[in-house]
Amino acid sequence: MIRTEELTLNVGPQHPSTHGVLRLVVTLDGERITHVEPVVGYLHRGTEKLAEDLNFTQIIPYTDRMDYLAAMLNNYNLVHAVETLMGLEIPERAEYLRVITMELNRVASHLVWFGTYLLDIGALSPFLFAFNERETILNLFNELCGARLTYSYMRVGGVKWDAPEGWLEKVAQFVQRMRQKVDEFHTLVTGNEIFLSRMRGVGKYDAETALAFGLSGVNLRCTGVNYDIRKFKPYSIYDRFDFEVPLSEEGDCYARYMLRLEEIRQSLRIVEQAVAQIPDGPIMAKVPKMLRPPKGEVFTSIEGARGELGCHIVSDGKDRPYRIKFRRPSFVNLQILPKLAVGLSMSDFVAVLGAIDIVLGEVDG
Amino acid sequence: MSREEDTKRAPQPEEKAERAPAGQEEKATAAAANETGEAGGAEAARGASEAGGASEADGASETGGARQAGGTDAGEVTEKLARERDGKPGAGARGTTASQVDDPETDKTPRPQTASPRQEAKAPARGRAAGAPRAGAGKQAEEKPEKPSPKQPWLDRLVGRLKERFGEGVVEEASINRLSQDRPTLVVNKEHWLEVARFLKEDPELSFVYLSDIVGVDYVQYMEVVYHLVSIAHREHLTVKVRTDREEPSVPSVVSVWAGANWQEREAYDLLGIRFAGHPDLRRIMLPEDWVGHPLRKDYEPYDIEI
Repeated sequence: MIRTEELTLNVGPQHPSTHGVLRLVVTLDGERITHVEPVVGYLHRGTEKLAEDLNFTQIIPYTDRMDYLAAMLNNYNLVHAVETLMGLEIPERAEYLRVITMELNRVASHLVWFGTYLLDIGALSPFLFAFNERETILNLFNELCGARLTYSYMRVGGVKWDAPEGWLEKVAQFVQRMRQKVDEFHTLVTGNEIFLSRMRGVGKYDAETALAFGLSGVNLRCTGVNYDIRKFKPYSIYDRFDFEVPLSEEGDCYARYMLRLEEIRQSLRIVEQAVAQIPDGPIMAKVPKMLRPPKGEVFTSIEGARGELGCHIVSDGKDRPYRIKFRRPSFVNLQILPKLAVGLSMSDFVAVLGAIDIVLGEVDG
Repeated sequence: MSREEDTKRAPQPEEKAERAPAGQEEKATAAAANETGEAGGAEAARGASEAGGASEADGASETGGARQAGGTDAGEVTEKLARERDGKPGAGARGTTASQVDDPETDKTPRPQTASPRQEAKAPARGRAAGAPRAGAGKQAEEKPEKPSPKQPWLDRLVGRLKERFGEGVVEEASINRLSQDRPTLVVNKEHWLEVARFLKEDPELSFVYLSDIVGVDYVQYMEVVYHLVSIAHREHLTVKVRTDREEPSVPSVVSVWAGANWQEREAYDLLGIRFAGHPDLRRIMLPEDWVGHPLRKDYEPYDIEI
């Protein structure tokens, strides 16, 4: 009889594969994981508390930094909630610019995911391919609003900057190029035997588990549940665009990978249609300088890059929220990790963690 | 705290020069009382009535409905905050936002340096108003006509079924939140909350299988936990609120119904101190284990006054 002991491995806050400052206390029996305890909070900055002292426009930069890879979507999350509470109507051009930037940001976020996930798996080249394309998007955003990562582009009532001369043409060109690149990524990676054996069947769960844990985004759609808020409860002008929501029945890491790449394609479709349809006009509605939403509460959610991104605002009529809470998809999605990890080896565990697609800024808020 | 500044009330629309640490709303309301234009008229009226008819001199400040003509921009706000921070030797007013400290009579901020107990009369009103179709609906009538919401029949049916199944007193309030895209809102008695939650999830006509968010809110008289539910099968949204008292806030945990509530409840416990009875592992999640206090509470005073 071999005497075995359990080993506690600290996948500490500084780690290349945890996608941020996430600490995982892993208990191993030999090679197999018996228990995982995620410790979060290393990046908790007290955004919700700080926001109680800031007016709504001032909170926008804070939302950038929550999910810093998809900041446009975070911005929109906040301004959409405030606009719903105030009952504002947004000019057309602003809505189109919002959709274009949000979908481009989704593409950029998925590219980061693609690159870093494959880096975790051990494929070092796709990272550079993905980030090369992402550079184009970041340069486009830089031209548009002056920032590459934390845009603070949206305002309550519209957007801050209009598209400069030639910007929309560049976006259209990028869409064409990116389409080819997605095919190239598939050629590079998807058929690879090692890749397939590491991803297929790993981290599988079913729809009931996913719904019980409140998973959203690709993590939910990989089990076959068709819940994409852009289609479920359309916001902004998403109901004008023709796009599909990729679904899969498998529920494993490979399904999540395929769905995210497919989502890039669908986002490109939306951007293409938006660039074709965008009208001229003002980019900002007539809002008072001092935004005072009426007393009351609102909860709105949008389809963020990682899942359902929500915002609950309790307003008491002042220019700053009484309570604001952001429903952060990465925080909720990460809960399934301890359940999935049991019985896996460390390499599978890294694959599962990467496939959830978390951003620690969002997990901790 | 210069109270004498407050009494110096020349009704100027833009009183940027003199702004008491107590915030600009007082002046604004005085100004708004003089102006009738814009939608500010309705809001000033709302402001006046909600403060219980506070005198013009003091301003119905806490209502924030009034618009300050001329507006303020970020620079002024930061200036004001800086002044407040310097003016108060306390914890930088982290416990209550500076803008709530408007009116000396109605403001209730537990300040270390002042002894006057100022009642935050807004809190229960706010809590009820949030659920009910807006207190002062008359003033909103000009913006939204008060015709019944299309979701009202659905809500009525739901309330009827809950009453039938669980008896009276389980559903304390039921309303449609018109501001939040006609979201049906229930206030459920906390003793029965776990059963109601299970019913909402398992009943095939409702099937609220997806728990979107758990929000803990600290209204100073009581605490409230708000649950946002989605029924993907039936395309319905529902918000349920459970109220608890402030001293020993405790709400039944719904982890046995929706497993994803686990970390959300831990977060509410960590930041607000609401205990969730029956939670398998209730401990701090964001803050270190040895942290003292619950930061999101309105009366939170951090030990380090420089923060």
